[in-house]
Amino acid sequence: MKVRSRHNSREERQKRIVRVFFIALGFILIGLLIPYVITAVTRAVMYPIEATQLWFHESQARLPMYLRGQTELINRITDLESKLAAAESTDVTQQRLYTENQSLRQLLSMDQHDRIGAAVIARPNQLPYDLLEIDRGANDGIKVGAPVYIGADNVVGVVSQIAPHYSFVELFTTPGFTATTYISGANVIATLEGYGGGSARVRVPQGIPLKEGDLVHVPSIDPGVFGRITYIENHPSQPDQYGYITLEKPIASISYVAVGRESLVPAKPDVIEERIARIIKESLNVDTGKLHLASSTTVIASTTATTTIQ
Amino acid sequence: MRQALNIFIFLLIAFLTVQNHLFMAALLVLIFTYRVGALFLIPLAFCIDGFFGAFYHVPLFSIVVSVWYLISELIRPILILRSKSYGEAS
Repeated sequence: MKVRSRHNSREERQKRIVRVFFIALGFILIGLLIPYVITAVTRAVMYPIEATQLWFHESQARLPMYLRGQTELINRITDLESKLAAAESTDVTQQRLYTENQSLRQLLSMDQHDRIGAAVIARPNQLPYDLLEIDRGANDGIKVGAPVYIGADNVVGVVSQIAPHYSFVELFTTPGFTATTYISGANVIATLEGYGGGSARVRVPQGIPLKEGDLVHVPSIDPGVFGRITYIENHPSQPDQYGYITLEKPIASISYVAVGRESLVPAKPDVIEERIARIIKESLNVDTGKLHLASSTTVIASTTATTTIQ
Repeated sequence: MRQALNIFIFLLIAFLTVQNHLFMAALLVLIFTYRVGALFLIPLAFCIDGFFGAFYHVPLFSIVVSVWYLISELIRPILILRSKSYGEAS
């Protein structure tokens, strides 16, 4: 009997739920049939809620003003943060463009030389070591043998092969590559040999004061500084000593190069001598202000010495 | 106290829905359904739909709440029975 009554109450409950559901659906249908009546009635019913909302949005009382102010401040902070992020990204973009522009201007040394700017599109390991591929070719005026620069006067190689739209650059560090160079510190002419792996070396006889940091010029290219001696290999028992030169920039970091308009022509000895003389002359120039100071110090020292003796 | 809290939750649901804070309103609907049931939410949904003039198009709140009533009334007894049995066990 108890089981039956529980069963009955469950059924009744389910019936009630379904009845309520259908009544709700019926009301929805009525609402759809006479929306203006329902809207008017519900507007009246919802008036307290509407008034509360109005109070919350427009009242000058302390609580809603505080809550509104807090919301407005949060929105303002979010807005300013997004603006700041946008401004920072713009600043970074401007800075990047400025740096890129400066480096490109320097690379092309626009005010002094006429060169062709080119982007490096392949480098080792995509290519054999000491070889670069650039995105300018014969159609852009590139010639075989043209010097390739990575700075205003920092020459790193020559164009070895050209196609209409691209070219290959053979670096001075390619094994088997030789060039006559002038080492400015030691004041000696030596043969540069490509050593491979991004380095080259100069061989000079023992006794010549070769130093790390000495500039290595390529006098057949004007201007043409290849780099600095970074390491010296000197065994007293050997007849020669070697100075090793690496590129100023790692090969992986070379993204833009400038190519000279004219290809290298064998320079006459007198022209090369003239350039070497110019380099020596430039290296002899010292800051005259410092020189003057040194001479006056000497005078003072000598005067003091004379006084002491007297 | 319990009744007062239920009324407060009910009014808060109405206010938040009108304010368009639907996520918070949905959370309160869950709580209210568990505590009281979804039956009282049907007239509220009617009023909100009427307030927004939804009967001129589709009374979405009313339909959703009616379906929610159907589902919740089927689920609620199971949940209540479970919570009771856990209470007895502990």
